[in-house]
Amino acid sequence: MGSFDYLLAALTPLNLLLALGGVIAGTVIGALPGLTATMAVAVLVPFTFTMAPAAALIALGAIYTGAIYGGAYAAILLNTPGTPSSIATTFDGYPMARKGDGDLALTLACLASVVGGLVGAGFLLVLAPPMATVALKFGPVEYFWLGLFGLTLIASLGEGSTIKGLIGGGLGLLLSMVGVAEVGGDIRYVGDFKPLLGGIDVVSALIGLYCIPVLIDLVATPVAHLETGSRVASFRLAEAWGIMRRSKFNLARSSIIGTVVGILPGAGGSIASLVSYSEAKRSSPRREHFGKGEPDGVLATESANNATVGGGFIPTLVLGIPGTPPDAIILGALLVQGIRTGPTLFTAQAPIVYTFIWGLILATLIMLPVGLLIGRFAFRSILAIPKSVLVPSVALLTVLGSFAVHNNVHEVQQMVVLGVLAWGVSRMGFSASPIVLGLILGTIAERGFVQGHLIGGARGSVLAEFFARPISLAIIFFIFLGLLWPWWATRRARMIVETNNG
Amino acid sequence: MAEPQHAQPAADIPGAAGSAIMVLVGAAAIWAARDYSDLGAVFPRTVGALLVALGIVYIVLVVIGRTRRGTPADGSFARRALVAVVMLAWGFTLGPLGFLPSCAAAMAALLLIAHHGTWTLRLALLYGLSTAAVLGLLYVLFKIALQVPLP
Repeated sequence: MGSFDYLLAALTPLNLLLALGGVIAGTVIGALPGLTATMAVAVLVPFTFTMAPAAALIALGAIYTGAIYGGAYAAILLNTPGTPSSIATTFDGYPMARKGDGDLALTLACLASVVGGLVGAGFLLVLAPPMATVALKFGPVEYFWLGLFGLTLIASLGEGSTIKGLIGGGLGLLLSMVGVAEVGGDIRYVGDFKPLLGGIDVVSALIGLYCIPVLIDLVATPVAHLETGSRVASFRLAEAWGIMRRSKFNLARSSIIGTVVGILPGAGGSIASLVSYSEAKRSSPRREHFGKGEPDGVLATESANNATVGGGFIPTLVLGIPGTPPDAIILGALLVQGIRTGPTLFTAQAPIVYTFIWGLILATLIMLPVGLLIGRFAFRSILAIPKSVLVPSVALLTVLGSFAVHNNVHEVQQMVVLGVLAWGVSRMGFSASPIVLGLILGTIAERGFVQGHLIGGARGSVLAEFFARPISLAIIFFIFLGLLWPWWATRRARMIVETNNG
Repeated sequence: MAEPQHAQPAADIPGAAGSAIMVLVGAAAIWAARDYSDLGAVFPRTVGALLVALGIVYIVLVVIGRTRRGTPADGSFARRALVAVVMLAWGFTLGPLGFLPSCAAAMAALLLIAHHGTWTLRLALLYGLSTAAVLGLLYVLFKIALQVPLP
């Protein structure tokens, strides 16, 4: 069978219906704060067990891609990431909505998600085997350096003060150490409170850190939660298209970052969107507008997080190693279907795999009309809801979302405690994003460091283990670049101002 | 006509207070790590030391006047504090009271705190019923459709 035959196989009415239904279901679930793409896939996966393998994969891929995109709604309209992947979308999406450009932000998010999704799926189609081979070469030390690289982004995420950003990152790192250490088994920072033995749940923490301060601040004043603007709830497609054309390099770079991060097992949409946001900010001539409603920020994060869908499927299908958490659930569904993933999958079960990839591309294209229509409806609806009804409703979603991750009341308690803590430190000028980054990357960095240390010790040289591997050296180079860039950019900006002044 | 007087930017006292708290948190993290294994203590000690050092640096910057306080948030502090208290109470009564009673009480409290205008019977009914409908709808979705074992 040729590629065209696989495309035709994906175009059956049933597959198209499954792709449409999957995108709608995923988008709606992803749009609810606290309900992650992982949860969307996990909740709906039992419905696919009776389907043919290719159809089941198309449905799951559509749910996944829809949920990642759906996270943008709450991020843009409520400053509350619907999924962890849309954390960075709040940075500029919500300020855009506050300025009355929420409809434009939603259209941009939809278009960027489609572009990112297509790039990720394109990489999956063309480059799956060779790229998976590179990802396989990542050992614990590379993950340690990758974690440190992510932490250097804190410098650019701190609002106003780099030192405050780093302090927030340090607090997040400490939070990531709570519970039983993954290597060594030390019980850390638990005290006598046994529910903390399992550590801080990242999803609950994210809901608390991002949603609770917003809810607390929403009630403080009688003003409306969103500005309606003069062109409310229109598509503003022409304007969005113009911005996309202007930012095509940003879009391409972010989509590629998303694909590559998706390929790395354990990373995911949240890291991809943060990295791409940081890169977009660093390279933009309008970097001072980032964080205040810059459309390029939304383009970068939304294209990157949807590109992780295709990227994450590369190690999942070729190696059987899930690239992202939803991929782990899809991997389980594949095993139920009797499909063995591995290097031979693309030859032995080529019809299923290639039909699925084309199905994923179709689902991504379907996301365009579905996303634009739902976005318009969501924007109108949220504008119409009075703040006094919105606050308890969103609060209920945060409670439900943090409970439903593991059906655990203690995670609701973690969520509210961390949320109130985040509100408290925000009044002292410490923003939530560096804390979140520290929390997410702390575990990855520490696990990589301890395992690398043990392996280096066994091989006779810990230093060589950390500093003599080519991939590690490349990441170290980028770490230095990440640390020096804000200093260089500030210095350059000051020189330009001084030159202009005379 | 006299030149308008520009006030000096206020020192970031809240930031310094937060940094002082972080110094204490970092010191406590290092102190707690004394019982951990060598490998288990590396990261806590490093991060604790980093928090102490960065906290002190920020306090010094505040003292020498190299920082500027951000714009204070507008609005009622009392309403903010009340929402924080309600959310904490909600989280800790969810298990003992059960899902529906704790959610109904917390949502009613949040509705009252979030409303700024005067109440009329019509408005109270409209908002009350809307909030109850949201609670009912999400309860059915999670409990029955998604089979989540709510407390």
